[in-house]
Amino acid sequence: MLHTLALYSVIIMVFLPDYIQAQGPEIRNDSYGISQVKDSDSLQVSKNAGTTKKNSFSSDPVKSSTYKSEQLFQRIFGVKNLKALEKDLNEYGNSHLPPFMRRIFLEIVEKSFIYPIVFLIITLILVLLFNIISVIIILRYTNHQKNRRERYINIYRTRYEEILSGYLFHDIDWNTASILIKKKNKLLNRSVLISVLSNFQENLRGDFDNQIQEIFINLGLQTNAIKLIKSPFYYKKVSGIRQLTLLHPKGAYHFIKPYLNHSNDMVRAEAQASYIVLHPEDPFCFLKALTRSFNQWTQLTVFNLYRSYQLKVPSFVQYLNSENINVRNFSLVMITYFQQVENSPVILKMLESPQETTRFHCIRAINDLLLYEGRELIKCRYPFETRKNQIEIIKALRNIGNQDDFDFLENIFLTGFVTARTEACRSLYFISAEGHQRLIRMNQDADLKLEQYLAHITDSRN
Amino acid sequence: MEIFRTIFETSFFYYAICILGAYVVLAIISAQTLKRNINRSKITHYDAIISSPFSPLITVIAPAYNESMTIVENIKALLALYYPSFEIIVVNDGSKDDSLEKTIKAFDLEKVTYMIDYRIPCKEIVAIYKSRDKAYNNITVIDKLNGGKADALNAGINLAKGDYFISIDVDSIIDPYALQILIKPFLEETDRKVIATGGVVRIANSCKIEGGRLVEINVPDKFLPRCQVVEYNRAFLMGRLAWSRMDGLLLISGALGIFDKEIAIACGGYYTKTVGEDMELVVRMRKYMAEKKIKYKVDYVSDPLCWTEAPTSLKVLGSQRNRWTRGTIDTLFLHWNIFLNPKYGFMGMISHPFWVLFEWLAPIIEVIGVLYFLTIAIMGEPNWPYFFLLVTFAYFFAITFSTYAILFDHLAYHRYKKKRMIIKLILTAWVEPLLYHPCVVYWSLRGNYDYFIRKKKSWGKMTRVGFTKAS
Repeated sequence: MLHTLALYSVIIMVFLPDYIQAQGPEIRNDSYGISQVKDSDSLQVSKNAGTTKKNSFSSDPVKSSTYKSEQLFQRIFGVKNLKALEKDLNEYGNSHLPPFMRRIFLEIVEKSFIYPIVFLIITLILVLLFNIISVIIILRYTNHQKNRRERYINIYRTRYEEILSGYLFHDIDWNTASILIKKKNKLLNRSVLISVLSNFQENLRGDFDNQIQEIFINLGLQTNAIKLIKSPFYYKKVSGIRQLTLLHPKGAYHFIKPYLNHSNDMVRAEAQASYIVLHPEDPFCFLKALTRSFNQWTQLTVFNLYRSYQLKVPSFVQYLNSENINVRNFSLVMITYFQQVENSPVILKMLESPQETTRFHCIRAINDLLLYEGRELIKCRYPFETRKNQIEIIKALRNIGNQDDFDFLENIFLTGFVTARTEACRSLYFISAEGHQRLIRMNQDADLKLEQYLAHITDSRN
Repeated sequence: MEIFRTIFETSFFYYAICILGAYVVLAIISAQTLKRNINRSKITHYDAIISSPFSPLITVIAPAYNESMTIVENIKALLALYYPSFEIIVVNDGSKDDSLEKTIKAFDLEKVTYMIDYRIPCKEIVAIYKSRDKAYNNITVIDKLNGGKADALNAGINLAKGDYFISIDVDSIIDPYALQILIKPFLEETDRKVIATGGVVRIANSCKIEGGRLVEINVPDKFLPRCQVVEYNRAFLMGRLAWSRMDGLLLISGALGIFDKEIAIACGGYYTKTVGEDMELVVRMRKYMAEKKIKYKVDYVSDPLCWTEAPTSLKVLGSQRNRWTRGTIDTLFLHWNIFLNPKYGFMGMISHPFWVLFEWLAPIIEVIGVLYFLTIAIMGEPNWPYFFLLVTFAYFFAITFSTYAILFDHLAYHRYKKKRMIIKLILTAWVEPLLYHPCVVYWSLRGNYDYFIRKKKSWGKMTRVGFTKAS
């Protein structure tokens, strides 16, 4: 729908010359708001350019349109400029071109100034045609190249995997392996080698780590990775950081720090992930100096790395004072995940945060860490909280609540929105048997569809 | 008369210049965005989200109406999505066939009592089903009275537990990696709230499908779907990408889109009285955020994540395009106060006017132009040499645009690997402006006629042939 509309729409352009013709020379000077160009000037140019006289235009639509379009060009570019351009082109043709080309060139120049719009459209068509042909050639070429490249990579990947696994499992020695690794100086082959080694490093553990890193160094692949890091392109930087961290951690150590606060989010995220791996003694230390955002995607990435490398768990309370809200929220989630109960006073204090997400994580922490001292605080906050946080408060009471909370929950069950009522019913039901009795008593006073609520909350699938 | 003619012709002239200019600009921005997206996707690893306990819960809502033939297979395909935390809500929108019975049987479902929080109004929910089998623990089936796709989606949103929901067509094939790719923009952004993300939809005709998964990609054998391949390439890779880059995207295809649930609910969910509910929701969500003065973003993923069956008959295709036109008009008029309203930023000043001028009015202006030209031609006034020159120019412009769309797709994804596939597409691009485009214009006009004169609000029939099964 989008482009082909142009097909018919542009047809309308055909009326342009008629339109100009329709206005006539008398009104033309005003119609564009440009009155500097006089008719006599334009006629003069027409004569110079070898066109027919003004009187003959009305009988021939092409010529009349030509005259009008010529005038349009004069208005756009200025008579003097056009004259000068024509003169320059003629001079160039006369002085620089060989005789056999001169005549053709001068004719083209002359025709261009007689029929400027026709010339322009033909030029545009030729440009488009050239574009189409170029794209088709590119398509043909790149398709061939891509297929060839894919086949090439597959062949060499299999070959390298066989040789390197042979070396890693002591079937062959390094000298033999080194001879068997063909075309190792070719850029594409080096990237295949790096990819194969990365796969090995991710899938093999123990002594293989050092062996794989040795291969990486022996083949001099670290120079490629360093080149990538120094590249101005962010995606190359990321690849370089990743390769170096995985296959040459010692070399990566010095490169990572400058990128921890890099302006590009992907470079920054990769550097932060690398930092975790390279600083096992205090993996989250970089959070203290973080001046830029620490988005959820990066948080997931660093947590995943942290878990897979089974690193030492730091006390996340030290990051709760960070000015960076992303860092604070991440720390709260980590405190909850690692059950760092000793941090309860700080967590309770953060309930006052103006950020909804921070308060949400606090309530969840109170629930998961069973911080009973936060019970009254979250109840007080309930009327001022968002819907999502209100539900989280009711859920928390199910775990940390007691009989003192029954009135509060009853009130929600009677007056709250359906989800809040359901959760209040669940909390009442599961806090103690007395809660269940309270529900039954309430239902006797008024028909609250308690059976349905109970059926809902006791079905673990809901 | 002369003055009228002058104004008329001048307007057409400038309109044509604007539309050509706009498409060139969109193509350039799309190319840059595509390059950027490809570079980013090369270095993105999804292992973290796949194995993380903190991956946000996503609700996949699949409305189904008379999908008896494919529903079981399609739900099974959804179950195979690679994402650690998602639930599937299948909404049986009052099907007249045995869609529900087949689903109950296939997944061992039973009726459960569920306290529904009707945060968005929808037609009565008759029953809710859950599976006895723990393997299907994340499937919920809603049986409700028929109310249309928008109403079914609203019912699904009411039951959704996730912070994000994905609306899909149950008859489309979703890429197994779609959820992890679509959720990424929501997790990456810290300065602005991402309210929705769309993905590229591709044509699956003649492709081979096995167990609800695409196993072999082919160019459609039939001409009509092939034209749609070229058309979709243009629309997704040379249009929407650019709009998303400029933060002016108004449409996320109903076949695949992920939304922030709370924002969607705050806006009132899908509007049930329109046939263009997908576009309408995006516009309303954007409008809501602009009015609340919250920084937001509607993102777009350039990876092809959804494969759909394109109509193969003129009748069905016509009905689909008629509906799209009515949906567009409906949305544009429902939110007319956005038009050239600086309060709504880029959407108000550029996106909405663009849709009005170059999406809704384009076919109308085009037909008026053609009729006007025919009148002039009969009267013997046109400048024929110019006419042929300009027609040639317009034709080559159209082909250039389509060829670039094919090139973009090829460079970015290299889906069509065989030479003959690319040749087929290029040949289609040469023929499409002459044969396919006039039909599209006609259907758009019919859409306008049905909307303004017949006041038609129904979807129309959409019959499908079914995908090719892999042997």
